Amino acid sequence: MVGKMYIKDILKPENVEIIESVTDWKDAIIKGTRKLIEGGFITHEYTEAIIANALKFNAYFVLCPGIALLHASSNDGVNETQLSLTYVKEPFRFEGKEEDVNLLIGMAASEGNDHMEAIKQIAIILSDNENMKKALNPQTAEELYDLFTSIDIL
Amino acid sequence: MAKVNTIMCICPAGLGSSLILSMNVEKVLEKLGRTDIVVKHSSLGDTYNGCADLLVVSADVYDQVKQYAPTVAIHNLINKDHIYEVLKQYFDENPDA
Repeated sequence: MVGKMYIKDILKPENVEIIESVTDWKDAIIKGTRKLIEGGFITHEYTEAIIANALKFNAYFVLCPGIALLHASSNDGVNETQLSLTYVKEPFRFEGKEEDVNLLIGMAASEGNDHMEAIKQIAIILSDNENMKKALNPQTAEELYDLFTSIDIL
Repeated sequence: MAKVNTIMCICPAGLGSSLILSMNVEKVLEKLGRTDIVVKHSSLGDTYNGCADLLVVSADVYDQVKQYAPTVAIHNLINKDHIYEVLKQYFDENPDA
């Protein structure tokens, strides 16, 4: 794919899911990236890189209470730029962090800045209080998918 | 304290948290009337002494970068009000920045 990538270009409905719980934060990273592995967008090394980074630097990818943007570097095992959304009903915490987390945004970004527009959109979506409420309490996976893909193109 | 011409937002990977933070920092700088400042984002591996005049980073990586340049820690990368408060405090405390 060339040109700007918006969320709807790199998020498939089948990669948006709601799960009941995770056993711990490492399980959260595994579950939060498995759709990307299943789809061939990343290798399992990418998941391991996120876990390694979290052990080294604390969970720096927790954007705000409730939401984590799971990601590592482009050369940690990314095949193709893609997003996934995993909502965990039962909140959990990353080691060293005090915030409860429910929403895991899985992000694989290949070399370059193609994913920038999508990230901008994510930032805009989450800056709205109503959207934030929906993101942290979706009723269905479809609702979560719609929340993130119906933003107007900038 | 030198005038701040460049701000760098850092995270280990250099393309996720740091990118979101840099976007919000730009918006906050508009509000603070400091559109003269250039904002970049980068990875920990690309951080070095004097890479920017001010580092704005997630609190989790504060200790890793503070030796390279004046650094402020952000606790909520999405909350522009919080980022505004942190940056405003920095500029208030460093009037030449």
